[in-house]
Amino acid sequence: MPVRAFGCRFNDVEARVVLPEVKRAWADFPGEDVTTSVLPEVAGWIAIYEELASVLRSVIARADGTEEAAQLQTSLLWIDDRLAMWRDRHAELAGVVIDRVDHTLTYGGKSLRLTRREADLLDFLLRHPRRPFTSKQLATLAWHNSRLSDAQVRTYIMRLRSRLREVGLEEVITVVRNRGYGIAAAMGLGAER
Amino acid sequence: MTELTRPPTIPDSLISSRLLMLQSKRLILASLERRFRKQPLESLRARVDHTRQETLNAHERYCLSLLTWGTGETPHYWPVAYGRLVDTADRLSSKLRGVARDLPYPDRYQAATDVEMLETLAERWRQSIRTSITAVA
Repeated sequence: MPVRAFGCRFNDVEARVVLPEVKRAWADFPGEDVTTSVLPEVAGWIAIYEELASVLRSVIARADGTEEAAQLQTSLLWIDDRLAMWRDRHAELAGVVIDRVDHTLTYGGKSLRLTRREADLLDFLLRHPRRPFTSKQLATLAWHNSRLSDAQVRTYIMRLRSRLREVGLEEVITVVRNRGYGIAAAMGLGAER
Repeated sequence: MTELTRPPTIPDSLISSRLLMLQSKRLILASLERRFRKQPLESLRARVDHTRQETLNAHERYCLSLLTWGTGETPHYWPVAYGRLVDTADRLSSKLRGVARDLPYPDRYQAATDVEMLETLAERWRQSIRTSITAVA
């Protein structure tokens, strides 16, 4: 019985012998194996990178001016650079592209125009997977505006979630009980940590 | 006011109190282990295990207090700070190495580069632990 894969028909022998080879070759094809199964893993090491950067920052602050602090600063630059790279990659793997200039979100072939605040919020959450943030933290870290009240942040979140429904991402922002808002498990926010 | 007569600050006191707690736990553990070696009773084993865990917790609290309130001049600050950096870097590189095979090709390369760099950093920090311990001694 013929088997269909990659837009081709394979007979029994081909399906048994050739198909696994083809699958392996495709899996190794640069940039093609964009599976969501690696998302939690990437999110996991982003969290450890953040921890490493945070320890380094604290040590540098407490030992400012010493020779050690100057050396550690170089390491911190490298870690921040890798952290930024993996954050971008995490968003790419999740299939979510946010254009920060015109605030357009693209997901699954659909596009959605967001407000600047909505785009900043979603971008921030996607770049910080595995971590829930309180309303206060979101106001300060995502929007650099500590004057926004909890109720205002809640309203923005509700509005963003309803906008995301239009592209099938309604479940992407989750509420973590007593801890705040984060990105859903499929996008990397897991219980582990 | 000279260094010798300087009154301890609140952070100094907090760190010292955690250190005293740690030292007390270590003494209790050593004593229990000695008793257990002489008399291997099940009840003693449970107490040894419990006290060992408490000692580990006290050690963690002491390290955290040093990292939170200590400065470059606080005794033992550098061994603890570098130790924390080494632990985190090791955890990260082993995680990266563990999943590298499942990653898309370009990410595999990136992860391998990260592992190599993290191992170099961890080795440098390990060397710094040795240097700072010698300095404290």
